[in-house]
Amino acid sequence: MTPAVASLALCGLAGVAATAHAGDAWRTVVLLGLIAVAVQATGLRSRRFAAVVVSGALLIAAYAMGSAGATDAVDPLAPAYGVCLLLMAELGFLALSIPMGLSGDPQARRRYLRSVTVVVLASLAFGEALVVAAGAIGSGAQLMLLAGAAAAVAIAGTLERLALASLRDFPAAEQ
Amino acid sequence: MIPLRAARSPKLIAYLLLGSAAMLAALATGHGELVAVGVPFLIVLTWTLTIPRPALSGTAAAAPELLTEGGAVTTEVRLQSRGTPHRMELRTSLVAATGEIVGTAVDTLPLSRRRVATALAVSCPQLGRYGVPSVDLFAEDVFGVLAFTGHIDLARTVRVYPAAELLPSPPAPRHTQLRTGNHRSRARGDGIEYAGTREFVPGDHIRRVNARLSSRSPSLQVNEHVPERNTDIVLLLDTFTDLREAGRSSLAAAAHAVASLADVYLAERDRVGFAEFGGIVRWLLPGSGRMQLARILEALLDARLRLHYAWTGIDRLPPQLLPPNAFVIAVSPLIDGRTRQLVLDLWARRRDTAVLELSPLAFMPRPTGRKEALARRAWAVERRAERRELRSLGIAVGEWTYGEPLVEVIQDLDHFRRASAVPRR
Repeated sequence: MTPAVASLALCGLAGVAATAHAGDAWRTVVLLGLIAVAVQATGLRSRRFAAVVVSGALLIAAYAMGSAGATDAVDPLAPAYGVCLLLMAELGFLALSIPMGLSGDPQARRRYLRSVTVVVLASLAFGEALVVAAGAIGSGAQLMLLAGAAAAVAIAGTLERLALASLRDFPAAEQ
Repeated sequence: MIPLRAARSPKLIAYLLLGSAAMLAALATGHGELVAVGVPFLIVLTWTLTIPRPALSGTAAAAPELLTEGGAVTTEVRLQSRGTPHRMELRTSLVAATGEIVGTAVDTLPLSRRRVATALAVSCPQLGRYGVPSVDLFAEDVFGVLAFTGHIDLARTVRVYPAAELLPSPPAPRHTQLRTGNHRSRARGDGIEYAGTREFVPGDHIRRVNARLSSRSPSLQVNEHVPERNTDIVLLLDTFTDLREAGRSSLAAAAHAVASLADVYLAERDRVGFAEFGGIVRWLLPGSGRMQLARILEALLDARLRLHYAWTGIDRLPPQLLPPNAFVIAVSPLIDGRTRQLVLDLWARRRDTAVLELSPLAFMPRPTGRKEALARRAWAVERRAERRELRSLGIAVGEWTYGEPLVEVIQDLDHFRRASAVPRR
């Protein structure tokens, strides 16, 4: 099975999972899932990495729509859904040769698989902890604030790092 | 230290967007599980952001500077890395004078060790002057989220000479010059090879007397010998046409033939001149020795198609280039009428002329339809008729298909010249 086919299969699986999670809005979720699969298939064929972003965003939207219609109960499979999306994106990027040179280097392949496994396990553990915490405090505004703050820190850290990296590339005379 | 520039990786943007989308969705809907959906993307980002920026230092050197067609330029790269190992792609290209990239070598290195050495070999399929400007580096982390680019400047120029084919015997000239060489002269004189006997005349050296024959004859008989003389060869390269197909160039193939002929004639102690006959005419006056071969090879490196609308004829060739009794060999695909006219003009001026016709069919794509195949056949018939017309004038024409041994065509040319009548004097 090629990475592209595996990515498409995971995309379909995520669509099915989002539909199963959805309540009354299942028709919209099914539609979003189908669009995500179509976008992923088209993008991988035409080798456009933006397709991975669009299909991932569509699946997140489908899951959010399903969650909006659901009751207050926290979905215990949410971390697995997140991992499914991550693997879908990773396989999609592998089909687009990102990271490059992976297929020709067994050592790099082993390191990559090991890293992906670590990330998957960490995501599941951290996600389950979040789900348990959300279940304990009732999915309240405190958790949402915490999540928002964590995301803001991560994004700001990334941008700051990129800005520093580009500043370091200027010649000394121009600094 | 090699300066590295952070490049925007598509994966970085994608994961930032997906993680942010999940967080925004969680904030918008107020459902905690959406945070768990976005967590894997943020974990990947956090992991890669904790990896320190790679610090690389190293050197690169490309060699050799001079090589022949089919050889390879090897760029040796030595790198030292500090920080967490990254995977790195090294790329070097061979750039023609026109800016066209003719070859690229890529190597992927796992920088798990602090010191890495590798060699990137780019083969040089055709003659010419090429540049190896730099070694480009592309490093990324294990997920391919963060990418860094850099380069090591080389600015190396490589000269690729045509690989001369070994020719056992070149076409023999009809006329020789006065200097000592390896060709048998038509005249009799001092030499090694026995030519015959004749009656003694005053002035003949006594050592030439054939004692055995003289004892049976009423008069003294002397041996005659054939003097070994050199000749003047002028090689004309047609640069009116350069057909290219699948990375092959007809001009490069013609230069290959010129180099082979120059090599063999200079080895026979002849004087060889060279002229590039095209939109612009460039020439080298006849000379001998290995130095002349080096000059011709250098001139071949600069031979290229040069378009010019001025009429180029025999009057553009300097008289010194065509010494009396010089043997002119034109290497041409005989597509442009001006080259054919030049050959006819040389013949009309009683120059000993031969044509090594480079078959253009090897540089043309296969006909795709019936009409194209028919047109190709008609063209081939027309070319055959033109070739026959030249041969009927006594001009030897040998058709050479690039990729086949040149020696067979040279032998055919020689046979034709030996069999054909002696040209007008």
